[in-house]
Amino acid sequence: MNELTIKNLHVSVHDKEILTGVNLVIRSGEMHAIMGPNGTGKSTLSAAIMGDPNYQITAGKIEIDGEDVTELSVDERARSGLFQAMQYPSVVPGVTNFEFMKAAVNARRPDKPVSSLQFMKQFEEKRAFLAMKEEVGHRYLNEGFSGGEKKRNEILQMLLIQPNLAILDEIDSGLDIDALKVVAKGVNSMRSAHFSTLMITHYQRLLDYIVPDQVHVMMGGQIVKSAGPDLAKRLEKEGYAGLRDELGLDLSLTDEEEDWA
Amino acid sequence: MRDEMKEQKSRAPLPRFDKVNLKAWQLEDLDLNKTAQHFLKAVVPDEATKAGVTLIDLANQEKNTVPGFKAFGQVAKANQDRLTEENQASYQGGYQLLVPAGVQLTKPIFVQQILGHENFASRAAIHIGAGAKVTILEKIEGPTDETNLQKKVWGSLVEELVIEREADVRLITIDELNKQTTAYLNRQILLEEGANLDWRLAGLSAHQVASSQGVLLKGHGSQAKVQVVALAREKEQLGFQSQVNHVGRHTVARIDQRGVNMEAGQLIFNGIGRINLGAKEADADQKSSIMMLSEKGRGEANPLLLIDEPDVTAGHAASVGQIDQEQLAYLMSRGLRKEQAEQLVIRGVLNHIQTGIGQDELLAFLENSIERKITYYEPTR
Repeated sequence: MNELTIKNLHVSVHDKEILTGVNLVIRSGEMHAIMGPNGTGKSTLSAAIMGDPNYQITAGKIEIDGEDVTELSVDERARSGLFQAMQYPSVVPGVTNFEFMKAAVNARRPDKPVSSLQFMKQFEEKRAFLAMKEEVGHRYLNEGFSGGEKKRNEILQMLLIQPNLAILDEIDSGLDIDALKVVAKGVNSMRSAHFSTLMITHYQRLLDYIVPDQVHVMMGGQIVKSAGPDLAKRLEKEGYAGLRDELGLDLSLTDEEEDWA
Repeated sequence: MRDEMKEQKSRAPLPRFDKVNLKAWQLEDLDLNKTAQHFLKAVVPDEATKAGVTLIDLANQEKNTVPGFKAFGQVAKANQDRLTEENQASYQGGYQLLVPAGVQLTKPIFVQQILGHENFASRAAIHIGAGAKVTILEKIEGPTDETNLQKKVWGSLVEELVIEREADVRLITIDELNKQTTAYLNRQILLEEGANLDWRLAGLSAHQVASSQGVLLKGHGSQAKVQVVALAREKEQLGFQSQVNHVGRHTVARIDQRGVNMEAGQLIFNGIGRINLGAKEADADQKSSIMMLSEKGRGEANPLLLIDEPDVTAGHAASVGQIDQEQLAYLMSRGLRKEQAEQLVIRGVLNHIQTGIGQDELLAFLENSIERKITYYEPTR
């Protein structure tokens, strides 16, 4: 996969329009970040790219290497190189982490599946790299995991699956500094000409560890500004109101204009 | 013999099996060929033979009336129900196993019954002596070759197990009757004082099977855990009824039945906890759950608590639900196709029965049987 192109994307949930015309291009090798106030559609964008059936595309296109992928199911998109590290990963009892990740890896190599023995080596290597406990392979998928452990488990999956485009949906939420460093170490280790990311985050801090090539700000369901990493630092200082006013946007933000009656 | 049988026919009723129409299954008055194939394959470890463990193949030998062998006709009484009565009068094969008092085995005993393409009546009797400790793996299966595919087969199995005081038994039962077989399986176990039973049953038959598991906690302080896993596929009708009777004091029972209904099959779980007057401080808990993958199937989990003693703790839970769509979506988001994702979840539910089961290679029979049924592909679809 070389390029993900999003053209004028409009997405609704339960007939409510959330994305109002998103335009974005992500080329292989690029690290992108998306920031924006709550409710502005960041997670909706990530869900729409992955093909979550709960979100309806009402206009616009999502293309991979020039081909429209709107008809592809979630699993088809995953097999074509997309990966989404979830904000709230599901718990699946009875299915071990090892078994699941092996199945996910083999989903991309139906003709030459990797055996348990071969996979064990890769699994152990990546697990140790992310400083995760030895028993993690035997434990059931995300069962009994803290929020931080679940996020690390998402990164472990990413390292094993080796996707072309990884969407990281608030991978930093709920993480302490040490866990954040480990996650960043994992993501940075994937940097190459064949790998790109779309990081959705609220906080500048993540972007100190995973320095992006481009930062986009979403407001009111579309990308209103794109620039280099300094944009994130500016938002940290000024909040979104400053940017909104500069752009002359007619939007209300959280905590503003609340009725104190 | 047949005329006598017909006279006695009016004595015992059909077994009580809620939600399963046993009458329609036509299991009464079976035509049973005395020389029907009834192979017994067994693995009895050396340490067991040396310690006096004896296994008799009832197809080839008359039952051995060892003094004190209590498990013949004393746990599953003939007049309990008509099918048990008929089985005990005309069984063709099966096994009798004796583990003498005090024998502690480190390796499991494995007994496998392989039936032919004919109506069958199988009998099993196991006696575990006081203070003994043993794991028994038992399996019953029909022929798997493709001959006689159209010939339907009916049968029954009656199994009795006596566990004497302070003995500790792990019993692993694998039922793998084939697509032509309609059967009633009745297994009854009696525990004396301080005895302990860890019973795991994998219900993997492929046509119509009503499987009854009964445990009588007769002795004070006796404890039993009964775990059942089952998988129903297209057009199969599988019923499981697990009952624990508390008679002694301080008895503990756990019933845990989990199943998956993959297609338009029928899966019934009945759970019965009976606490008799005098069974003080009984602790009884049961749960039954069924995961439905298809709207066309039928799944029912029926718990029943019959409590005649006030000084007890008892609880129950029953659920029948869809496979979790969020879980499926998560698994598919990593590239797994829907069927693969479903199989992972199904395997998770069924393999629960293997938790803490140890490493012996014979136990691979359990995992392989489960895997076979999950991945079975119906060629005519």
